[in-house]
Amino acid sequence: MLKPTTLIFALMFSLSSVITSASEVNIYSARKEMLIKPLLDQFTQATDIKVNLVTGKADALLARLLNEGKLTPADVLLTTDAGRLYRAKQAGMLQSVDSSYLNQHIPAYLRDIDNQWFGLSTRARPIMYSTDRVKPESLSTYEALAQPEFKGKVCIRSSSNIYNQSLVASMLAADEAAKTGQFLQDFVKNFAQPPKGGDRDQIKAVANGICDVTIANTYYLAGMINGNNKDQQEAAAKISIFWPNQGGRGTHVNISGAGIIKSSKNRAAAVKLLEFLASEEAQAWYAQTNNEYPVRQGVAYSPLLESWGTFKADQINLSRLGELNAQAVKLMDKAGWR
Amino acid sequence: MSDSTLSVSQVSLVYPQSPNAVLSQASLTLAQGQIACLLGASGCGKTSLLRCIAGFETPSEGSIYLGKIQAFGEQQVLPVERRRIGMVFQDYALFPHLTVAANIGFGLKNSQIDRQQHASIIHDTLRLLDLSSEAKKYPHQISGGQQQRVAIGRAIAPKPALLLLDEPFSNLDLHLRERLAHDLRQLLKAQNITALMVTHDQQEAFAFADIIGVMHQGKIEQWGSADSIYRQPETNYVANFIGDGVVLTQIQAKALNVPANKAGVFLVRPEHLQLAGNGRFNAKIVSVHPQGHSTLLRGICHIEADTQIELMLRCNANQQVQEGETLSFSVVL
Amino acid sequence: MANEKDTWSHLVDTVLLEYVTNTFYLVMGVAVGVTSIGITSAWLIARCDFFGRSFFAWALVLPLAMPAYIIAYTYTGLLDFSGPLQSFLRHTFDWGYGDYYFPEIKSLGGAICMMSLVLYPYVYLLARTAFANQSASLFEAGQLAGLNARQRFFNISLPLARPTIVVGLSLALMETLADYGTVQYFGVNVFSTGIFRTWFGLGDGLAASQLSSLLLVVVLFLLGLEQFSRRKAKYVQQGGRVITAVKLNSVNQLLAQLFCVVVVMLGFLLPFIQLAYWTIVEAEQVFDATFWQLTLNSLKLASITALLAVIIALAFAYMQRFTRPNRFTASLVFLAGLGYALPGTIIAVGVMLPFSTLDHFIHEQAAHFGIETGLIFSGSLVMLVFAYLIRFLAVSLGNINTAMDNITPYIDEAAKTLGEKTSGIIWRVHLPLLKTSLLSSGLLVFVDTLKELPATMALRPFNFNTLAVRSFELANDEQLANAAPAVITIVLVGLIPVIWLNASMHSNSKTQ
Repeated sequence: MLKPTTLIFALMFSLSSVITSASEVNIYSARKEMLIKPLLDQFTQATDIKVNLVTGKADALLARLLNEGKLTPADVLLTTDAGRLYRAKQAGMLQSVDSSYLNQHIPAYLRDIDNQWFGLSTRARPIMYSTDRVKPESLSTYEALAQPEFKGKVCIRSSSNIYNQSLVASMLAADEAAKTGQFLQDFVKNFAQPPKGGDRDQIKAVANGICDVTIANTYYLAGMINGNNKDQQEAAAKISIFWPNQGGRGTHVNISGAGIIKSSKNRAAAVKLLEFLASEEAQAWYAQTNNEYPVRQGVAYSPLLESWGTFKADQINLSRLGELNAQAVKLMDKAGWR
Repeated sequence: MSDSTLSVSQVSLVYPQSPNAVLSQASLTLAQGQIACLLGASGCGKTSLLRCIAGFETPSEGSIYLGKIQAFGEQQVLPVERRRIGMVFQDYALFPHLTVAANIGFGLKNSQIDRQQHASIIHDTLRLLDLSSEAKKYPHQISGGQQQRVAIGRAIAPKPALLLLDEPFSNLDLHLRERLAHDLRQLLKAQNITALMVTHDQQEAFAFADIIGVMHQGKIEQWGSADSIYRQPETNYVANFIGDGVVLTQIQAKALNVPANKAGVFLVRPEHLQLAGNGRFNAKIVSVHPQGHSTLLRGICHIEADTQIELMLRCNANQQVQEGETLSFSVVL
Repeated sequence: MANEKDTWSHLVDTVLLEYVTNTFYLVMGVAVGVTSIGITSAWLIARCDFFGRSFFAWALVLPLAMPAYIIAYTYTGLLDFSGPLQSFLRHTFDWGYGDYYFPEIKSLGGAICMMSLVLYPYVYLLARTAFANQSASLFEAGQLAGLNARQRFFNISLPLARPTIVVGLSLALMETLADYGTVQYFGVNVFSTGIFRTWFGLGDGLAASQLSSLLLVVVLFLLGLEQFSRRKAKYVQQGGRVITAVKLNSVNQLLAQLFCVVVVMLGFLLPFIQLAYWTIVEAEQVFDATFWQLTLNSLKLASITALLAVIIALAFAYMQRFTRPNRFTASLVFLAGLGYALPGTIIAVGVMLPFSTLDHFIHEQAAHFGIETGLIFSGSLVMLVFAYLIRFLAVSLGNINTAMDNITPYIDEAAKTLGEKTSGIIWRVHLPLLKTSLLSSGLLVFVDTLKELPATMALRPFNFNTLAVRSFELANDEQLANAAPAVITIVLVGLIPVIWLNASMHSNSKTQ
């Protein structure tokens, strides 16, 4: 008979995972597996470098990196916003990368000053409105949504969401804090309902007449249009996109991006991966598959992105979003934006 | 020491946190085949003594021998499982997950008995205790009396040197107890099993035991035959505790003309007081306790102006006695 | 990093009150929900005889297999403004937005409903056994005292079963406090969401841990209540003639059946059908090769965790049985119970620190000998299983401790007088007697681990996915339909132990 202790040891042994491979790169990714794995598979095919992946929530991954310190097996951190990359840099977890390829193809405002992280796709967060009920002429800027004429007409998700935190941080970067504070106070008064659900829920709410306008990331709308859920398709058909602040700083954009971990043992492979993700082929994939905007010039948009037209993006250095994030959260707390 | 099956000498038990000794200087011996009973009110230490013998409690001093083997002494403490003692627990403590037969066979695995005999021992024990038809049942499926018999069977199946019983009848109907005690005595005698039972019930003790030990406040007040305990109590406590009766002071005894027994105790029991119209003494009856076959009376007897004695008397059931009535009686010893 | 004092006063000024009141209402609401559903259903099954009773006896346990955040997603799909129900109403009556009232599912009330629907089985299972084992003579005494059926329930049954009910209730409430997925999706700001917001949004770990300790105060209260009730429950066990079920008349039968149908329908069947529909109709890829790998991973982790949870709980129980009662073991058991009320992410981050410290220590020691060990435990499944154990040990500890307490010390003594050593007593007496609770607590941990998400996400090794992770990655991207196959697998695998658990508790309550 198998002794219970032997059994336990055998089980424990089966738990420990040892990774060994000559040429590989290890990624901590806040991007979900299905939104990055196909690209990584292409990378492995092209370079013969094996990719090991853990996906998770950005904050938990950061905590993990911080704890593992210089022994971390991770080579690359992938996130879906600039704020977390900024935080990783602040914690001294990233290293500078001097790649002329990356410098050439990624605009300066979409990467870190010290080249510790790089934007790989842009995610725009414009105003979306009900085509039936709202005239685009009545829309102008994010700030204008705080006007009394929009009372009870605005839907937006919770301020716990990083996209909203970044948006408010971008306002803080553009204007003085008191003004942003006042905007938030008025903006919250215009909410049609307490914030809940995700961006798709807000878009659905606009389509269903609960409210007239919302602020949401474009790829959610794209996902609803391209998805196979009929209700969502019908809802999305009632929505138009408005690019706000075109006369000023531009529409708020965030990035999904990546940086190389300071203690990386596979630095060369990691740089290769970053360069691959900035390649034309990969950039096109971002645009085609997830309807994000490529960071690289000259990469074709998907027909859907084409149909939404071009816009002026807020070119604030994204590090500022990270710096101002806590202040943004506090102001939203004060305004009662849940 | 060598010819007794159980010999307990000078055993004391003191818990560190309590000032009073649970047992003090308790001694007793049992010969092979003898059946004894520790009798006493609750809290007198009788169960503690039993548990010391079994090995569940470790005495503070004294020694315990099981046959020639020292179970407890200054040099060694024999673990419970090596004492070859059988025990019947108050709530039986049957193994709920085992059948009646498996319960009875439980101790055989650890005994020196040959494996081939196990089945026949279980079979015989079941027959002996009239449990053959319940062999495959589980404890919760049988009656309380049957459970008790399983507990006894389980304890005696491995042929222990000594059987301990902790209030084994207390969970059973009152009217059954005396008979069951008697039946159990027959069974143990037939098997020549040495046994020590703990009880607070005198009827049970008298029906069951050859020897009775009366315990009080951690001490064995008297250790002797049932007859001697009843007729020749050695202490006032035993005299008061066993049977009906009143212990008199020397002055009272003198007035009633009651002699001391061998131990110097002035004990007067109801059967010593004969009710008669022309008795020498008068007692004013203060309470009447019919007991079916007879009626117990409590009366106060005035000897002199300032000396009064409370006595217990007995009359026939058919004799009508009222409280407050005065009856005359004589002392017959 | 923001100033800590700053953050705290900011929290106090703005959102803390909301966290406290919302948490309070959530816990109170779930308490009312689970006790009313749990006690009513337990009473019907244990004490009333009606057609379908034995079917409902186990059907009522099914919601236990349904993760709260999943039921929240499915009900949102069904009930929110653009869902089929409201759309149907609007089409039928030609209503528009604001023309009619419909309760908002994504709200505090909605969260209370969702959690009550999946957590009531804790109360149901325990209360059912308690009701079924109550002694008949007590009720006869009640009848003689002139109490009617209603008074007998409130004056005899309920008080007697109360300690047991409180044990179930406190388990349910600890699960409520640990929940993050549901409240976050419904936009209800409670402690668990507030901790994350403070930690990650404000970047203030210290203030977040202060919030966590505030949460722990509530948890400690619940735990104290649970342990107190367990102790009390021990004394309330009575033997004697067990009461028999009352045959209901036809009207009451119908009501009883209706109640059970509605509860099972809402807590299990409706979301299950929705998931099954999505699996069949909408999911893009259902069962591919990786899917089986996921299932295998989930099963492996869940069974290892369950096994270890049982072994450790057993060790704790023996520590308490074989040593004189002491404060050390008691507080150890108490502490081990804390994890059940903490959100998985907090536990995950909590276990990272000791393991990485140990890894760094080993690494530096080994470096003296020229060996590079790197991380041994961090990022391994060992650490993940450890986190699971901290999270779920309370379940096995509670169960096994209670079962151990129910073995009277006389049983041990009897075995000893029969010549059995301690090891023999454990094998021949204790383990057979504990078998049911060992299995049932192991299975509960198994189901809980299967459903666990945040700790798995945060701690898993490279290239390692589970069913829960997959379902979350799909569901969170607002594509619940695609998550359905993974979710339904979790539910189906979880069903096996749930049904078994019910069967074993049922037979137990019959024999003991």
